[in-house]
Amino acid sequence: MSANGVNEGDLLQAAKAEVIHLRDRLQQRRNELQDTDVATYARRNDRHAIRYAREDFRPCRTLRGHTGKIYSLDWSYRNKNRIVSASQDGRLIVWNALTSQKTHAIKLTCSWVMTCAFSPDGHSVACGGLDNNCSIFGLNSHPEPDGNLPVLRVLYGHRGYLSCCRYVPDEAHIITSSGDRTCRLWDGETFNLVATFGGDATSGHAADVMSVSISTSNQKLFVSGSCDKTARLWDTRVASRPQHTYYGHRGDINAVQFLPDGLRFGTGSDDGTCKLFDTRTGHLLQTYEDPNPGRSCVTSLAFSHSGRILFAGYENQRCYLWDAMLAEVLFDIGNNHSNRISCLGVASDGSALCTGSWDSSLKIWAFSGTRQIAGPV
Amino acid sequence: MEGGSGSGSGGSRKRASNQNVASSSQVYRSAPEASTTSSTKPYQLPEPRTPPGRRNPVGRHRLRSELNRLNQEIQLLKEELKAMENLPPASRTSRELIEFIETCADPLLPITRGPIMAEWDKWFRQPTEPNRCCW
Repeated sequence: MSANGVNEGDLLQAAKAEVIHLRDRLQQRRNELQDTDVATYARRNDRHAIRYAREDFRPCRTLRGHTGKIYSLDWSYRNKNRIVSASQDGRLIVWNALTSQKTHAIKLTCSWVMTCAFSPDGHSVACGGLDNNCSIFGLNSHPEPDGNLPVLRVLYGHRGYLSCCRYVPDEAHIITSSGDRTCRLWDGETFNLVATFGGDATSGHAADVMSVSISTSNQKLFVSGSCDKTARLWDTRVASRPQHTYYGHRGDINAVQFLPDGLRFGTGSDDGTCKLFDTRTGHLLQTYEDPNPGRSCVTSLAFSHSGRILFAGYENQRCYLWDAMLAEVLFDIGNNHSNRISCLGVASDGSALCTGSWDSSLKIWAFSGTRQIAGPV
Repeated sequence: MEGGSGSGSGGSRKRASNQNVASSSQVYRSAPEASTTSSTKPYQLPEPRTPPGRRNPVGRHRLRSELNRLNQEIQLLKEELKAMENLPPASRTSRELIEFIETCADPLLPITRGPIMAEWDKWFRQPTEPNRCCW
């Protein structure tokens, strides 16, 4: 019995009922607003599918040099041909993708690396994994006597493995996500922890955070995808709670990626689907579901420069090019990799796709057909 | 980062950690089972019980904490419901997305907005940069 004579058990039951009622009302309101999806709207307004000939999209480079599974890759923003890749052979390799040459091979103290990222100025790379830390290497640093690049700085603080790290493009900050259910913002100059997002059962993710992506239109916003089957939008100025939570997946979310407009983002999940969400309204705009039987987990995700193509890497070695507007598979890269596609990314000028696989290779893909200029919209 | 840095997964670590949890819990459970083999009665862990007629203080704290959490959630749901009153329908968001897609040039599309850059085809030309390799 509480001080005012009301039984606490009754209050709890009433609060639970209120939560269920409010959730129902929210769902009802969402259903009212969900009057269409992107594909239906596009077809209704005479938009047609893109047609790719068989040879229009093909591999033009194979980058070999890793001896273990590749887990992550990132294109440089400044030098458009550079790629950094992380492999469980314990090395980061920086590539000139155009010449297929390696410019740096960095031996790591912990070989269980899961993520890597290029800094916006192209002078440093960050990586992390089962060591729970984010290590930063300066590409212009003097090598040690054994030829290795020394670690410039280590960001300590996460209590679980580091699943993803990303530099904020126009600011000296780094965002990391971890198996400790949090995301963290770090100052890229002082390397101090600025803020922690989540870790609190009421507002944060309830399971491992697997991926983060930063909005290109407002770099204070980033989205995180988690094994709690939700994606959350965070404002770096408000660490106490997410701005929005996005539901819909029935499995762990492995990858999140903003569209180039910075207002919508895609998610890839263990349930075998990719979904497209609008950040401002929270609407689920489209689901991309593999039509073939034996559906496989989505491991990685990227968008082309306009957002028209959604690239999705799958556990079963497949990589589909989805028409994001009409939700149709445009192209299947086939059996070009002999193991799971674990990561992929589009060059900052949009001219190529790079896929990384557990078969230890990276492949560069580009459009080799004839281009036409579109008529007025 | 802009225009699509890739994002990858670390599914194996996720699964490996789950397996570790599973195996450690199996080890934990096997201990009482082992002890049953040496005695006739199955071993049972003592269970703390509140004597009948007495209130459990731990339970009351738990109730309060749960109540606080629910009240917080109610507040958030009410805020979300209020914010949804003025939201546009999905059709308007879809239109905005299509407009954005159709106004951007895209090197990976057969039909795209101009101008078409010669640089886009660099991947099918002989590289002109000097071959410098660290190895």
